[in-house]
Amino acid sequence: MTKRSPMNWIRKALTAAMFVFQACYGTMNDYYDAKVTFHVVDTDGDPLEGVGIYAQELNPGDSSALNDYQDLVEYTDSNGLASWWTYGSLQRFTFADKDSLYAPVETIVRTDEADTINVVLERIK
Amino acid sequence: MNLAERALFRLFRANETRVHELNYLFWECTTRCNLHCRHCGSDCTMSGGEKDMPFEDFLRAFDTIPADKRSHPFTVVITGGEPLLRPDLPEIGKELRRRGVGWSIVSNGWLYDEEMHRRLMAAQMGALTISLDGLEEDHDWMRGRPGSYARAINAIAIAAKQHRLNFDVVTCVNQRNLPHLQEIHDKLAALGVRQWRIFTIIPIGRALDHPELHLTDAQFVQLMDFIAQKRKTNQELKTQDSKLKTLNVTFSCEGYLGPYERKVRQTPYFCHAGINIASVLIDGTICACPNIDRQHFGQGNIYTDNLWEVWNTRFQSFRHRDWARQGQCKHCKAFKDCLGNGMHNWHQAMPGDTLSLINCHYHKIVH
Repeated sequence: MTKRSPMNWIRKALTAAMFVFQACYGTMNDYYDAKVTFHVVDTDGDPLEGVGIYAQELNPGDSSALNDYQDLVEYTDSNGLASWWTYGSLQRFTFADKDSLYAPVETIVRTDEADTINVVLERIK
Repeated sequence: MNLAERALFRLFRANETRVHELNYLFWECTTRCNLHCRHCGSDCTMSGGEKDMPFEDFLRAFDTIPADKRSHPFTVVITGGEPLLRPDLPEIGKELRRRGVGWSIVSNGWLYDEEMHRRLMAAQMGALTISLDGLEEDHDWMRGRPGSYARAINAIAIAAKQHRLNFDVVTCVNQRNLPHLQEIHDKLAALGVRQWRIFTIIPIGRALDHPELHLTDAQFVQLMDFIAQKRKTNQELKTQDSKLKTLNVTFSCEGYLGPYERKVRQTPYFCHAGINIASVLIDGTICACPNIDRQHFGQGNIYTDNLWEVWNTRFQSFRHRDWARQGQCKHCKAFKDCLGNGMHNWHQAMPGDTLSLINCHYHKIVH
C-alpha cells in the first residue's frame, strides 16, 4: 500500500491534481484534513458548556468574507471542548453562548495551522 | 485526449490498479426507503427487505482497516435505501470522524430540513449528494411520491448555502426529463448549486419494468451534446471572469464515452470499483459499488471474513479485466481504454447465467 517513495509522491500528486474520482452513484470525496479543537472557559478558567461556535470562511488575500454564510460548527461540551474538521482555510470563528450571558468573541485562524484555539468569554455585567 | 495523454493515463491507471489503495467505502446501512423510485436499482421498500445493519457490525469490519492505511481523503459513503431514516446517523458520523475518516451520504432529500442539516453538520459530514430527477411533475412521477420534488428542492437550497460541504446534485436522465435539462440547470444555478452530476439508468432492479426510463442511442448522444455545450459555455464564462460562480455540469463515470471523453467530465473514464472503492452491503456482503451485481461479484462477507484481508487478497476480477473480452467487447478497438465499461454494467439475467454487458455507452455513441 502507501510507501514513502518518489513514485508514490508522484502518484499522490497525480491523483489529487488530475484524476480525482467519484463513484458514479456515490458522493464527492470528503476533503476535510484539518482538525481544530476549541476550548472555551470563563474568566475564572471554568469550562463553559453550550457555547455556540460559528465559522465564516475568509479570503486569504484580504480577509474579506468569501460569502455571507456563517456555519454553526458545534456547541461546547461540559468540559468546554468542541472539535471541528475542515479543509485548510482562513476562518473567522465567533463564540457566543445560547443565553447571551457572555460577550461574544471573534478570532481569525488558518485552520491548517491551528490545533487548539483557547477562548475566554467575559460575563456581561 | 491526444496520444501522449492517453498513454500517460493508461500508465496511471495500471499503477493505481497495482497499488489498489482503498479510500472510498460504501456502506449500505439500510434498504428502507420513504420513496418508491421507478428506477431503483436496489428495489428498496418502505419496510426494507433486510434489517438495518447495526453500526457496531459495520464498525467491526471497518476497524480491520489499519489506521495508517486509511489514507486521506478516506470517505465512508453512507447509502441505502434512504440513510436519513436511520436515527443514529449523526452518531455514526461522529464516530467515523473520531476514527479520522470523512463521511458523506446520498439522500433523496425528503427528510433533509434545517434541523437535520444542523445535526449532520455538527456531526461533521463532509459531502452530500441529493437526487433531483426533473421538474416537479417528472420528479414526483419518478420518485413515486407527491411532494418529493418540493422536499428535494428544499434540501438542495439548504445544502447549497453550506460552503464547507462538498455538495452536488445528481439527476437520472430519462426520456421524460431529457427535454427539460436546460430548465433543471437554470433552477439549480438559481439555488446556488455548484456541481450537477448526470447519469443514466441501467436496466436492473425496478428499472427493468420501465423501458421509457432508458434513453435511445440518439437521445444519449443528445445528452452528451447538452453536457459538452454547457461545460464549454461555462469555461468561456470563467475565462472572461475567473471569479464567476457557475454550475459545473458533469457526466458520471459510469462508462467509456469515446469521442466525448473529456468533453463531458473533467477526468478520463476509469472504473475505480475494486481498485479504490469497496462496499459493505446490507447483508454483510463485501463488494464494490452497491449497484454492481452482488450475486456474481461479491467477494466475501463481513460476518465471516476480514474486510481488510478480502480487500488485499480478492477483488481480482475488478483489477484484471481480461475476462471482459467477451461478447461485443471481444474485438472492440476501444477495449484498452474501456476495459469492458463500468463494472455495474455487467449482470447475470439469472443466477448461474452467463455474465453479459447490458449497457455499452461507447456503442450508443459510435453507432
